[in-house]
Amino acid sequence: MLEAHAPVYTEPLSIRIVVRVLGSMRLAVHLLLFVAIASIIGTILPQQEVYTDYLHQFGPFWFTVLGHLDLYDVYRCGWYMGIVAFLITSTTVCVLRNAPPMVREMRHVPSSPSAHFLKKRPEHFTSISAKAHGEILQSAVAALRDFGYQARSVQDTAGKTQLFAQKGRFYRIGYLLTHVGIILFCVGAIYNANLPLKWAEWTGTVHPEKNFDLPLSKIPQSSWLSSSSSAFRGIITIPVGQTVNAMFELVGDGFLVQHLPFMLRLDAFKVTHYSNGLAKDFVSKVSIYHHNGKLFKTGIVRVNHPLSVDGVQIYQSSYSDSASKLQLHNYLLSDPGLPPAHIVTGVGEQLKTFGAKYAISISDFKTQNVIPRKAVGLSSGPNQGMINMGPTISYQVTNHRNGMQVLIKSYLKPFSRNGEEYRLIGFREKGSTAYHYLTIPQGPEHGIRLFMAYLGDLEQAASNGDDATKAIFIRNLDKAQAQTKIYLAPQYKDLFLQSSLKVMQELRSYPLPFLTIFHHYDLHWSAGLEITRYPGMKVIYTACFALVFGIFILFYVPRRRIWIQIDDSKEKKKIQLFADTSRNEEDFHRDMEELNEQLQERL
Amino acid sequence: MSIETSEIRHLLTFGGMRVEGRLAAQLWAAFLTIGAFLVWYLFRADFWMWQFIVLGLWYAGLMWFGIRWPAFRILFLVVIGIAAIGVGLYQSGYTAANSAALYYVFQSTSMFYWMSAAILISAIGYYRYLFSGHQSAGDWGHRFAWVTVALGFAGLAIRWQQSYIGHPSWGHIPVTNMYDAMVLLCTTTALFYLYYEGQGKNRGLGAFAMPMILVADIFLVWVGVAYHQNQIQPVIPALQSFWIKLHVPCEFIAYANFYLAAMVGVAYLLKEKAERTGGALVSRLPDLNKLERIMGSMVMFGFLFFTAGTILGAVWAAKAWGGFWSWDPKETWALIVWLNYAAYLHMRSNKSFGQQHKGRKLAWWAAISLVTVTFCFIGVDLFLGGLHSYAKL
Repeated sequence: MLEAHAPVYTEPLSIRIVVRVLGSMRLAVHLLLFVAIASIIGTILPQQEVYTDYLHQFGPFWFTVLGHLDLYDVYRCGWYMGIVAFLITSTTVCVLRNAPPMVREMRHVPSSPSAHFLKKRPEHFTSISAKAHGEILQSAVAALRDFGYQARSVQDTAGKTQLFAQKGRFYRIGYLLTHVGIILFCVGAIYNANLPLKWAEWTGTVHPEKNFDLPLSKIPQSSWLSSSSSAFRGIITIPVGQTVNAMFELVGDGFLVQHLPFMLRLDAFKVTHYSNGLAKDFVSKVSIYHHNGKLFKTGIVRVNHPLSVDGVQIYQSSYSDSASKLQLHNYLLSDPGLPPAHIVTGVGEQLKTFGAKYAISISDFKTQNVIPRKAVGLSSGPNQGMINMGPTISYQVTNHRNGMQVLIKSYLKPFSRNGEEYRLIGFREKGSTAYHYLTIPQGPEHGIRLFMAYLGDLEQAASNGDDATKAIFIRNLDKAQAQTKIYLAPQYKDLFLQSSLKVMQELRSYPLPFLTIFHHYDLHWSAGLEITRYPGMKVIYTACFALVFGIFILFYVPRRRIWIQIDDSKEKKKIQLFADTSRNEEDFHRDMEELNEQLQERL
Repeated sequence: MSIETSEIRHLLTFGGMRVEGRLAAQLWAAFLTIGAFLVWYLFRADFWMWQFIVLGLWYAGLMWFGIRWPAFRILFLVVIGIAAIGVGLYQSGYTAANSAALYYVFQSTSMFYWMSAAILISAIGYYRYLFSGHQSAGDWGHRFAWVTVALGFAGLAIRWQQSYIGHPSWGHIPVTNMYDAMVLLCTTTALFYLYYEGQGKNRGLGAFAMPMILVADIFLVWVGVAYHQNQIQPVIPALQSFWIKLHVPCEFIAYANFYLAAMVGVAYLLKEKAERTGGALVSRLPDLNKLERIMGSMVMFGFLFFTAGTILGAVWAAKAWGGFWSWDPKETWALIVWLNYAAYLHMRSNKSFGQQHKGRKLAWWAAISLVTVTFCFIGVDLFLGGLHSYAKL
């Protein structure tokens, strides 16, 4: 590609060979493909998971083998970094070898080249003219200008004026920018990777802690990192109202604790929703304090909108419920007329009921819950197949006697069907897949007190031997209304009655002797924040810009050179046109043919 | 004009055009300039630095495409015309439920069905041309390829308007799930195919490009029917970013070019075989050198946009996920694709590799890269998940 320069060797042969091999294109192609193939591993094997999961998945033998190959964190391990480092070394050597001649070439215009050099140009046309030297020059300049070339006159060895024109003189910048960009990029990435820490881990001065249950105060000092670390990336989960000054970084199968350069308080957390109940945004309000307790800054952290504090970026990463208070009402089906028992609990808690025969464990709490409309007997229109059922708890009931487990979902918000409001409880026995739903009619008052009273009265009537006639049903509904002092509007009475009978039918397949209703909740959120300090970002962005701009020049800015030499030693002057291009020879050839025609027309 | 878009002179000036061509180009420039100002005027309340940059990029890109390729100007006007009818109907309060025009034609999902029909006809036309030499079949294939592009882009524009119908807060650019993505892939690939067809003045390659688009289209219809992804849903918080409007189009321009390069690779191999054994293909495909150059320029164009798109994605990731690069499966596969084509371009540009059968090697390489690109584009979402898994089915 480059013109040969007479080589002057100062290094011994062995170094020259190493440099030549390292800088060769062949090695570059192979290394590029090798890195590509090595990268596949980490996409197939999930990275940085809990080590016991791997052990479970692969068995003890392969777990150890894969562990020794560092496959659980491929992209940060020695051998992968080694290959990348090799690729970068190769690129660097290539740039170091090629840059000086390229820069020389761009600075120096080969305006009066030797006849030998010109003969070797791929394009060569000859014409004859009887005009004067100056006239020929003028015509040639005009022809070149028509093709967008700025001609300049140069003196040849005999002192005659000849022409030279070129486009894309700085085309080599494409090569330089792309390759230097890649090297710069890696420098930035290494800067961000906090090499001193890697070194400390490797030599053992820093120990990742493996016990994830340890409270912060018990974590040994060797697992702590100072707040002056040049780069870090970690996560921390903060309950609303609490303040932290450290966060966690996962390393291999353990973690390190990173001191933050400030104290961070989560003032508030909010989830906003679309009209159909899907999450729209997660917003944390945080205050940043100096270590001496002075307020430094307050701000909002949203998804896609991190907060920047003194070179440290804070991101909204996740959120979770942290001990929200859940209030439940527990009705006994054996004696439904009794007022319900009040229970206050939280996610992850266990409670016993029914004389310790049953254990209830609350497994989940969501403020929004989108389910298919069909599941609750509503028609579904186009684009609205789903309905948002609002806050929901999921809990699991275990019968200690026979080991039977029932999964239950209880919804706080009633939903409306044909103008009547219903409470929804979904249940399924462990092992079956689909939830059955109880749709219990609500009276005008929030809750199912009226229904339970009605159920009690009907059971009472049945045990008294009353017939199942409509009159009896109506009489007992009136009785239940009088007992609870909850009165239905007359037009809803019939609907309520029918819905109640339907639920009583459904209750036959309900496997538990009690009904637990979700009554109220007090929200307590925690926000998961990711906190990073990446000092190398400016370098990386510069490198990226250089890379893209370089690729553009590399592909779309060719260098094209044209020499026009006039030999006036004879009466009929011989005009020779020489030209070369750095890429796309075919089109260039066509252009040069046209140029030559134009030139001949003007002569 | 050249296949390789190599001359700055051609890129930036009207030089060399006939007078009427120059006038049309000037009209195009005026039209775009007025359009850009209009966009700014209508949405000026939302404008900030990056919006100006994006508008500038679109302005420059459309200007360049329109000046280089006169047919693109007509396409642009037709797309605006079709989209205007659909958007206008929605704006004046009609929905698919009370307007037959929307129901059968102008709602985006219907329009994509019409687009699918156009793709099918176009693929059959080109295929017939390649194997039986019917010039008119090739012409019909060509016409329906244009219909595909027009309907696809107009449908996407209408879909963007439709996303505001559910609730104003739902509105988003329709590139957020697999269904939208496949529509964009089909139309972009068809558009770039037509561009290269215009450059190469040969209909034979259509028999490779359009059937591949047809496969993507079948996948699109299946995703819509089986997973109801044709229904518009609001976007999750992570996707509510301005960067999506830069990152996704860049990646799709790149994918379109990589896919086309792979199909040209296949064409190259078949043509080479036909030259050895004799066959009808010899006369209906461009010669091997030209095929190799078309393939190379596709990879180059794709590579430029892939690099830019991946970097823009990383910039976005730095804003959304806290890290420029997280070794997420999608990111890693993007790196793999990038390295693959980087190696390809090194081999293509360098003379130290054996010149014998170089074209054939490159053609095989481009064709096999189809697998890598497809895995990066779809496979990761289907099989690996990770941070990009909102595209999952």
